[in-house]
Amino acid sequence: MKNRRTFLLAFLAVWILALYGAAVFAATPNKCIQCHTNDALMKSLHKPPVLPKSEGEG
Amino acid sequence: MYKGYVVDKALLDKDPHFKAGCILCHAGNDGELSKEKAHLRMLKKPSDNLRSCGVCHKKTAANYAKSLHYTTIGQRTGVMPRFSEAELKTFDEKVFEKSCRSCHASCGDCHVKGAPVGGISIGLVAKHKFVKKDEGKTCAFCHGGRVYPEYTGDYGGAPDVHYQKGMLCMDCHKKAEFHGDGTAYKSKNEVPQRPACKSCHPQGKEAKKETQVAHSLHDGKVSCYGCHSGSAYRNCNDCHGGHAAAGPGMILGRSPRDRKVLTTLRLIPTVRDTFAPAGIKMEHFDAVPNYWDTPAHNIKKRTERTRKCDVCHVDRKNFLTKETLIKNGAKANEELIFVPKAIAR
Repeated sequence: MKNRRTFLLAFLAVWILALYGAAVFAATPNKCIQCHTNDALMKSLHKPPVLPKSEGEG
Repeated sequence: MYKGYVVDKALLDKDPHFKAGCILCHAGNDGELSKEKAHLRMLKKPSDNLRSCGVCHKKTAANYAKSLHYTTIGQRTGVMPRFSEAELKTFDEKVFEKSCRSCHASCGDCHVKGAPVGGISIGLVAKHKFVKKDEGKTCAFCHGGRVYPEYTGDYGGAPDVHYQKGMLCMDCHKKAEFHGDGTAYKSKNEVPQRPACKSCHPQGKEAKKETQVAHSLHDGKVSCYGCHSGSAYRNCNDCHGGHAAAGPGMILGRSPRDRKVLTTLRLIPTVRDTFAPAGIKMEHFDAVPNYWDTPAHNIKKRTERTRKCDVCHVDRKNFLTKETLIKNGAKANEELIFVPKAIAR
């Protein structure tokens, strides 16, 4: 009886932790897209590359 | 070109490539807002490593690893007959991997982002959408020095009739040709999937009798381009030696790969001192012509050569001659000179 109760409590604890973890994961924002989906921000941050002296290609 | 870094938000929910987040491919740190911290140990172009795409696209990536677009070995195959054994070794160590191979295309260069050419890139092709094709932003960039602008007419000649009919690169150059079949071909001429005019234009089915006769008379002796190249195309000289020169021209001569066939030739930019900075003299420079047979991408159904036999057989217009050979070129160039038979009247 005691063993069965312990098992049920452990099983419940695992499930609660899993659901909590999933919620945390889902809630964590991907900060990459906050910048990279913002046209105006990309424009302000972009620095044109300095081109090397090189021959053409193609 | 800041737009090359902008991602379409709408893709994030729809496209399975984004389900596991940016860091799956790009690494870096998606929990940071500061650019420096977010980009720490970030992979800018993860598709440059075929294994990135190969996680899901196993067979395609495995085949592509041996394809010519990835290995670029065709460039080595073309130039190596000019080298001695020792020179070839130097070329492999000092030139091919460091310079020629920079032209290889990764998965991303066709499907996600434009390939950099001369330090310039348009960035993401379609806001990070994984496109099947977008020739104007991918093929046109790497092949924009010669073939693509000839095809569209932007080079100044007449556009190719296929372009006028709405066809782009992949209408003839199919996926199988690019992805490869797992065979490491040494040259584009070995690739069985490369396009052939007769695949769509079979001989004997022409609408007019005189066309059938003309084709029958010249079959095996003149390539399709020999008659149907519509205008001058770009010829390049000494582009890698720092004295780049290029100009329009149509050159008719024997194909270096099959001397029985007359075709359009294109001057290629390897001159005697092209590899001198690497200590390579090219001991067998004279053994290989400076002109390759070129599938000029400026096809026209009717040209002055299809209209009138005299253009070739009497006027000998555009034919390579001793006088028009490039100066200080390979001795092998003379073998490409072809004198057409005069027509008996």
